[in-house]
Amino acid sequence: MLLQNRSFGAGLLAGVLVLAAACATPPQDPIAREAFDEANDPLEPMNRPIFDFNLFVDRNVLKPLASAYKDVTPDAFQDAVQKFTRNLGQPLVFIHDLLQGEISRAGVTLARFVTNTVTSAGFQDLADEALGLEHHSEDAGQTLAVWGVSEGPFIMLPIFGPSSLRDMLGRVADGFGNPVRIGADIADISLQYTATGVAEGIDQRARLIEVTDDLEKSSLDYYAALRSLYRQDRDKEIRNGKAGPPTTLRIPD
Amino acid sequence: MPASIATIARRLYLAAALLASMAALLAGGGSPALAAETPQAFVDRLASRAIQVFAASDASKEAKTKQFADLLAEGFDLTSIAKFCLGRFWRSATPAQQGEYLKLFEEMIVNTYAGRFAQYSGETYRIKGSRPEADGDISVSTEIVSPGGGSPIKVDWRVRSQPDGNNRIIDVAVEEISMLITLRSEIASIVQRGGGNIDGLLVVLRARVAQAQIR
Repeated sequence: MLLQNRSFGAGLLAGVLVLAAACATPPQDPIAREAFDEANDPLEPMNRPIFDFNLFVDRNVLKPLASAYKDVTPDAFQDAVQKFTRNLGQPLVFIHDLLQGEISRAGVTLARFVTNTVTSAGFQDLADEALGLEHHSEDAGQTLAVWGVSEGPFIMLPIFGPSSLRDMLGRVADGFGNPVRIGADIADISLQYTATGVAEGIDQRARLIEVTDDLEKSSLDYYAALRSLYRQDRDKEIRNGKAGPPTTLRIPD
Repeated sequence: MPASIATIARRLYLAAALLASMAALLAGGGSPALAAETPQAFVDRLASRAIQVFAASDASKEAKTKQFADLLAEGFDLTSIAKFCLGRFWRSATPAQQGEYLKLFEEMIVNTYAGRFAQYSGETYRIKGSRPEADGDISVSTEIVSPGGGSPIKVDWRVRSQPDGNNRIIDVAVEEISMLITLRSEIASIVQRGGGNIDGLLVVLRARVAQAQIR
């Protein structure tokens, strides 16, 4: 574990150095500078090649795998995979509900986890269907945001896709702090736990095939579109269902 | 003579009252008969007409796209949307570039959304209410329900009242993700990568529009 942590630390240090080297110089022209700031993507020179790499992997591995999964398995099976992997994530969501001071949302998460685990080992979502307790997601990136940590630059992670400095740190923290992962380690079923993670990834990719195909076809700049969608979606998730502040849409003359 | 003074006074008073009410009418103030359509009723009317266009199974694809284009031009302030999406680069563009950009942008929007609506398969919508946005705009909330079940999709229509009193949609947000903001960042990115000149953007838009015509 110590060795793992040390190599992780070295990896993180190397990552930070690469980030610093990959920074684009902000443009001098004030008009271009404003657009540069609005995109919040100083690492774009590094992010774009990573995105191309992700697209390559997606086209050749992930999407074919997800398509096959979608075609071969029955809908009820896919449903059960989504519900089961989602249920495994509930303890972590519960912790983040509490860390954000969202007591009633924490109550919903706890009630969902207990109900679904007891009635179907998590393969069904009776809590939603019978009790009207809807699922919501939380993660460390959202908790950091609620605590006032700013977003940081946009980052395109290899394989995992769009992120930000804040969300990337959150991802690392959740990897270490997820009580279900820790429990699986102790019970010596880490491999099985990892398998559920892989299943979750394939299931999620399968559900997005139509959306990403449409976006890739209709967008003018697929990378920029995904970046904007990611940032808007995170912003919505952080607000926990509350309406955002009114936004000004000023039309240039 | 006192009677005629009273008569003149009354006439003056009546004339003044008449002028005042005419002025109020011309200013478009609160006369119920002239009240503009509420943003909510406006969105309701547009949405039901869009569904009528695409639910009609007998019309050809071209005819539907044409009808849809007319509906978009009537319901959306496409010029403002195009300008907002180009943002700060609008002012640095030449009038010729601006003109071509507006034309291509409008064609692209019509093609994209006609293509999406062409997949219409019996979805219905519910108006959930409206709330004020910044700049005096009204955001009308709807839910799109698909006939196959599943959770409804939240779609918000941002309506801006025009100087002529008509309503126009200037943004559509699906699950709180603004199409306007997304498109703006795509366009800014293309202009930026073209070194701040919008010629590169025009090349991309021309190719996009030509591609849609082949299909």
